[in-house]
Amino acid sequence: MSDDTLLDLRVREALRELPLPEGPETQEALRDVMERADRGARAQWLWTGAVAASLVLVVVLLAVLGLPSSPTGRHHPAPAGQRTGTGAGAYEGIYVHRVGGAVDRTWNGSWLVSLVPGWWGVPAGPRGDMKVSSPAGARHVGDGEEAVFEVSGHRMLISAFDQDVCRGRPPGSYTWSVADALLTLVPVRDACLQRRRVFAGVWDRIGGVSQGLPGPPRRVS
Amino acid sequence: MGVLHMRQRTSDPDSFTWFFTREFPGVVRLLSVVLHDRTAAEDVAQEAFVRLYRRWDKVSRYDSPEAWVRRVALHCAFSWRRREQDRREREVRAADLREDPPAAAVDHDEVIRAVHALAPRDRALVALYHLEDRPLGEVADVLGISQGAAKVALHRARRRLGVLLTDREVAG
Repeated sequence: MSDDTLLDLRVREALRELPLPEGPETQEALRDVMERADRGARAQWLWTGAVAASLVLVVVLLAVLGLPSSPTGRHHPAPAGQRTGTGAGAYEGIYVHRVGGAVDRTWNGSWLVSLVPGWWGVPAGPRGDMKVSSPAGARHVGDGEEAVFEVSGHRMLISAFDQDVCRGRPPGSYTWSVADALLTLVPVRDACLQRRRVFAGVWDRIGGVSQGLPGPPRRVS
Repeated sequence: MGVLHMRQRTSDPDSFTWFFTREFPGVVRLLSVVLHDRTAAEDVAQEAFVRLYRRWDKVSRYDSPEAWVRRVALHCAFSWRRREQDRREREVRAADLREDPPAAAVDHDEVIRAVHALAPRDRALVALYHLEDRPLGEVADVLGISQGAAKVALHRARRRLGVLLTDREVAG
């Protein structure tokens, strides 16, 4: 037996003598984990609730005091067909895009993506929440897959699929533009071919996430 | 078969409990090797499983949720160790404390002490490979490095272990 093999054996045997937690310790740890996770979730809900309540209060106060939110006294969101520009409001919305020629054929079909400005409850800022829904039966993608995007001017960094097919790859860099209810994403640099295949191209805006379509879009059938 | 197994695991409301009971002890032991502190290992392992619990719907569909939780656990462990090291360095400006084991663990045998003399990432590498018998590709995946880098690092770690054990035997 070589010295290397002997060393490997020695290391393996020594490490395996380290004690494992007993069953009762593991059960206690399980209870702790679930309690901590629930506490965290409750805190997040409370925080979200507090933010929402504050927003409602501000809106109510504005309405009561009669302060106009636009020169005409009412806020008129731009119709989908007229959205243009580079501000957060320009790209906010739910979009659909048809993919063909994907490496994994189950990825061919219609994809939905919702782009929500703001991240972790911070409504302004360069980061936003993204939810991606794949065609029915697509492998390696969950319902309403969540990701983060980051916008800087006309650049958008997209981190989708970074736990699966794009694991270990940096976020994809795209240029974006919105005109006539169409979001156009052009890849600048994305080492993840699958992500590039999904995101590059023209997306049709089908609704706004802040105008009555909350939550992750359902899987496309 | 694998897909069916995953679906059963996902749809079962007790699947997290089942996974936790199966994996938690191993993760604690892995972190004990990296952190050389059993209490910290349990705390850090719990933190990793809290994160897993919050994402269980998604992570349970992955090919290897056990690799995911180990990756998160090791990330937390390295962060914890950096914070702890900073704290200790602030408290005691003594360079030789950095690699000394805590007093509670002085009875560990030669091999364990030699492993603890390695850098934290090398400890993780050795533990994943030797303790958990994971293939090199999976070890590399958990540590977020290429398989080639993992192979080179493992070779270096083993060579260092050999030197450390030889030195101690000669000194003893």
